[in-house]
Amino acid sequence: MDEVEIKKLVDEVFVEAFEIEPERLRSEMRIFEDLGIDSLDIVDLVVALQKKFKIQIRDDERVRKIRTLGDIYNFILTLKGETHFSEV
Amino acid sequence: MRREEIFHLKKILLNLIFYPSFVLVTVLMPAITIFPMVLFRLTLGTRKTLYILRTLIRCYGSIVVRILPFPFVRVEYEDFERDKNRGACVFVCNHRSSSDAFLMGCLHREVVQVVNNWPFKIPVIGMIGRLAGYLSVRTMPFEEFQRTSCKLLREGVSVVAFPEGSRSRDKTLHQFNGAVFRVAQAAEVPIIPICLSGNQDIPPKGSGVLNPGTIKIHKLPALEWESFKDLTPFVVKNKVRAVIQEELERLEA
Repeated sequence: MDEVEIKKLVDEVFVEAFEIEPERLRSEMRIFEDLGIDSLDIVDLVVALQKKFKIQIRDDERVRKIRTLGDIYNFILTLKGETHFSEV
Repeated sequence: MRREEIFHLKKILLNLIFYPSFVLVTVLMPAITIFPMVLFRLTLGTRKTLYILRTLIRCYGSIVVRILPFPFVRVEYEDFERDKNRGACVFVCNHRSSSDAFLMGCLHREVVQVVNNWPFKIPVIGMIGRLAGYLSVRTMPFEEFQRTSCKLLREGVSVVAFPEGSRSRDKTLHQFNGAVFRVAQAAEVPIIPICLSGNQDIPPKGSGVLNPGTIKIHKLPALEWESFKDLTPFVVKNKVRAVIQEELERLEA
């Protein structure tokens, strides 16, 4: 799975689970302040990401450090054992 | 006398009159009502006593925002007869000033407010809020918050929340926290958005100085539970946020 595919799938999660317009999904967008995700939505987001990528991230401490959408792309990429995700 | 000088004079008078009377009312109301409340608790039981206490809080709020600062601060209501007689619901309001909680005294029904931690630390007010069952969203785990809110709504007590969490300094509407929207979905009750405008300087965030002005409160049409029961809480909160945003733009155009 390459970085383009990961970005596409993460964006799909945001569109499907939160109905966020695709044009707002840019790497630099802050998930709390810009996208309006709150601490409760994070739980839904984690569940949706786990389902989409068939991974386990619920207890991963690194989730707490995520601030932007780009952080999520990088985090998933790291989990999938790929190279660092470049800014899109 | 110039317009600015008149405004400045009004501001001084307002603060000179408001604060001593505010302290007086805040101290006198509990002092006068404490013994009748104990008597009510012993004779009428907890539920009826809480109803009376919440009604008194509503009266207190109305006195603080409508009578004490009058005529320097005026409050204008729009569509307050709308949905007046319907059952318990969740009221969602934008947040700009510490006077917002008092403004909710205008709701003609039994309510409990969802508040931050700091109001509970205010002498007298904090203690009475606790006694009235006000909800501290910061200290309660979400499951407990949802359980308690749903129980209140089933008892016919409406829940008032300011989902921006903290007051806005610059009149922009912040992102909403979804907790109270999840409660409305779980409790199967409507959401009524309330739009507050003109209150940002009465008093401004970070200051206790009141400015003369007019506060507008618009009660917007209810969003029925059936219309949002199948939506995600994220979509519901943003839908309500968009309704309030649109109304703010209309009021401040």
